[in-house]
Amino acid sequence: MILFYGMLIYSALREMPRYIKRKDWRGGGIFAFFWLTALAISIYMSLGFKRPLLNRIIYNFIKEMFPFITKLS
Amino acid sequence: MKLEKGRIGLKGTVLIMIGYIYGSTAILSPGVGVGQDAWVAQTIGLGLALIVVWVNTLLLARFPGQTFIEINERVFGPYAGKFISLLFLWYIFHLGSIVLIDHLDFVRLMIIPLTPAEVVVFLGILPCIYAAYKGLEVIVRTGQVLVVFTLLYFGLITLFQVQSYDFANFKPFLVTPFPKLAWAGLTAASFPYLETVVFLMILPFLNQQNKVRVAVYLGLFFGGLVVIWSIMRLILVLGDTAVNYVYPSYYAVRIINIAELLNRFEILAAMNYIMIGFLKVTVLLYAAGLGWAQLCKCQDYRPLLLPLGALMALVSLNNFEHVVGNFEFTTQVYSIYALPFSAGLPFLVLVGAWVRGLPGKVKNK
Repeated sequence: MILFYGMLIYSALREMPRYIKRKDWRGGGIFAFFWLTALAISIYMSLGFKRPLLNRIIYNFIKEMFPFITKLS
Repeated sequence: MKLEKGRIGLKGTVLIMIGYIYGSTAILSPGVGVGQDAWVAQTIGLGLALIVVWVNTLLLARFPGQTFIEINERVFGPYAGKFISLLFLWYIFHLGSIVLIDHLDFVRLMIIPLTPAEVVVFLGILPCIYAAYKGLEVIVRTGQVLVVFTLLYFGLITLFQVQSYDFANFKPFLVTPFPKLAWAGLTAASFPYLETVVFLMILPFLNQQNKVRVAVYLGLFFGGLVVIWSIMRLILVLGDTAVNYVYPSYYAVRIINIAELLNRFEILAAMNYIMIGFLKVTVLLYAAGLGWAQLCKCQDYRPLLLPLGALMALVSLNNFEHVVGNFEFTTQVYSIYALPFSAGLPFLVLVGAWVRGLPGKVKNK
């Protein structure tokens, strides 16, 4: 995970001064949103919590909603 | 303000579309679940997709030079338009994470099994971010080389496998019950053909806007032919046993052995899968980055690519518990999940534009 932390630190050091210089607050805001979300997921994974498995959630939901697909596939 | 100043040619667009369509099917070989009728399911899927993408071409003809995000805002206004764009961008982003893990699971399981998934995913996303950062023209130029190499590889493998072909594997023909075959066709339409909805973010930069329809149909048709032939090749070589393999196309290449001299071609297959996966993830990452920048009216899309790519990689690590979960998702529920995004959203926007009489009389050409 240290590689991802490195990537995030590099991107912040590289881009944030540019956003501030250009006064592009909208761009800086969306950049910060992605950056913080990626950081939060990195920390969550580093702490060794059980992974949420996004596609498993979607899979179970769709299987519950449309039970006929089990027969067809 | 135009965020992308590059322009792409017809030939390059058709080639990257072929590569994009062949992308994940090279690894996952969809439809092998219906046995020897898999190629029929693929043909049904291609036929359905050729009808559905007509909506995309109509949309691009109504709004030439505008991406799907710009069209949404024009048709539905700032709030509803942004909401539809958010749904579309979520689909592109999530699809990117799925494609990334499809290809890197292959690398991890078949080539470097002891390397942690995080390292493989990190190294996989870096070149994609770099290529997307360089812009659309660079992606298309790179894609042209990679797709030509892929097609050469494809021809070579087809030739070398001739000795293993068993045409009896196609029999019995059409024994799959119709509902199951239709479902397999629908699944084939959504994966991979309708995934080309992402080209609604790329085709507006085609230098000949009057040839958008030609680009879409040529790309889809030839991409479809490559996929159908790759499935037929699997049936010819592996027959019913194809369903037993995690990566049937890889195993089909492994068994090539001509006079104990020409063998071990799987390294070519692995290289090909990595290259074509890189192309597909790059296209998706670029489209997601450009889309978010247009949605939020940023001055530049490129700074977003690094955190967005990191996020895509991290989400890809949280998609499935193992590769079997990936197959279950793709073969069983993916079509239901993807169709509202890949077919529903463009149709909704086209209906909206038609009802509102857009684009109406515009001053610019």
